[in-house]
Amino acid sequence: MTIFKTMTFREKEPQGSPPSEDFKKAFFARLEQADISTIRVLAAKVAPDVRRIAREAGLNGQDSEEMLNDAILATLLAIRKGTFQFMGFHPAAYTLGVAKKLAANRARSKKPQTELLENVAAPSDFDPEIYLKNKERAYIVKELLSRLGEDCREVLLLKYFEHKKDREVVSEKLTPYATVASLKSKREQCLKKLAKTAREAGIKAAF
Amino acid sequence: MNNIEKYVADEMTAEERAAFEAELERNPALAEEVNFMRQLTEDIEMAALAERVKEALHELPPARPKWPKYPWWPALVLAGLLAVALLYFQKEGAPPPPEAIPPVEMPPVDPLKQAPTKAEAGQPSSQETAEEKTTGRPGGPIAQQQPDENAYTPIPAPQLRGSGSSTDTARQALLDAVWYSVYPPEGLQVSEPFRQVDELLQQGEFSKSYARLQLLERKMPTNDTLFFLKGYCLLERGEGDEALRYFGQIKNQNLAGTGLLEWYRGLAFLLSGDDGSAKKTFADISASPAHAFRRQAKRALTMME
Repeated sequence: MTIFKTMTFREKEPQGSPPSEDFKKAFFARLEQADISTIRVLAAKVAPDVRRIAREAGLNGQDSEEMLNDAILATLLAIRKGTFQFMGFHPAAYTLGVAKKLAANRARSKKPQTELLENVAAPSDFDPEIYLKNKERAYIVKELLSRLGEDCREVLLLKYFEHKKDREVVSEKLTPYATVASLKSKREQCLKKLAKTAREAGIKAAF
Repeated sequence: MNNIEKYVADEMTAEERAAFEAELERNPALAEEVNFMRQLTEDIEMAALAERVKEALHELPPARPKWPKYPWWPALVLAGLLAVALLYFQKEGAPPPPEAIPPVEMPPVDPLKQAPTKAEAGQPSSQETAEEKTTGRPGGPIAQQQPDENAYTPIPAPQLRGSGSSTDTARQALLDAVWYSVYPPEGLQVSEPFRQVDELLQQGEFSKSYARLQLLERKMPTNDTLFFLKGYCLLERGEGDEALRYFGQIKNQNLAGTGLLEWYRGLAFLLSGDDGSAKKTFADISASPAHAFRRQAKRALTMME
């Protein structure tokens, strides 16, 4: 009766032989949808290596777990934004590349020189500094979203996270709004409110 | 704003887009506003994605502690010296070490985990039985009722993770012996959004129910029913600490019938290995004469002793 027995990626990764192209494609697509069980499979796959990388960079246990979190989040963002596209290799490779860049970035702040990135094929599009700035801002936005109320949070997430079409939202009755027009109007109000509170919170300069 | 949103969401037609972009070139304030909104919507996505990743990683097994890279031989020498010293003092007439506490003999556990018998669970008195006759349904508090196969099915204790050590085996035996949970509990009013979860839970599908509840949580405001059901799913999956986290957020403590929540808290403490809090909870229940789970709590305390 444990989570891993029942909530794992539906198609089992082939043991002993490298995963097939179809498997990797399906895996990639589910990561794009931010499917929680698929994220967990990716995390389980990369966790030992990411923790080793963190240890080698002199990071403690807590920092190492944060780095694992960041490496996976950056991978999902890259998939969703299209900066990391399926090219036939397992997303874990990208995640490890991100982890190495993050570790090098952390180590650089502690030591003047590091050899951590030598001979490492890290994803060229990933900039740890930009990622960390975005993460900080996203954290503030998350707090502001929770203050907006559940109604607003829901309509905004359906649009900007789930990427649901307004017609789908209405027909599937995912919100109390029965028409596309009322849904749009509500979302517009919410976005205005969020923008206002974001500016009031003094994070305008960060945008 | 509507145009900005449409532009940011890439929902404009080619003509609309061209006109809007021309306007952006003429109006720097508008361009700044568009950038701000684009960034804001990206932040919303990142914030939600971060939550999803956090949730996924929350259930990932923690890193195994690494043995320190010290030479092992000093520890071995020290252990040898201690063993020699122990033998020496025993021969010299030093008081022997206290005898190991004999293991508690657990009653045989039915692998199919039947609900407690009348005698064990403190079943209804003759007065309550009369109530059963008049109402046609079991009378008295739920925990003290004769299990009715048509009304509910007893649920076996969850399997502890990492079982294998003697401590885990003993705890699993204790859980098997004291576990008492039912679904649906009396008094729990399940509203429309939870119907599917309710059906899944009646089939004992705790993981599927939990996944469904996760989806619901994203689509509706949280409430006591959601917290209770999530806590209950986690409890049945052996996640004591997590179950306690959700049970702790419930405002109406009588949500699922008098005392059930308190009993489940005790079980959750037991699952998480917090014996002190489990004992305290069971002792509180036992001390309350009208508590529906008084006899189960007494039994649990006896087993724990």
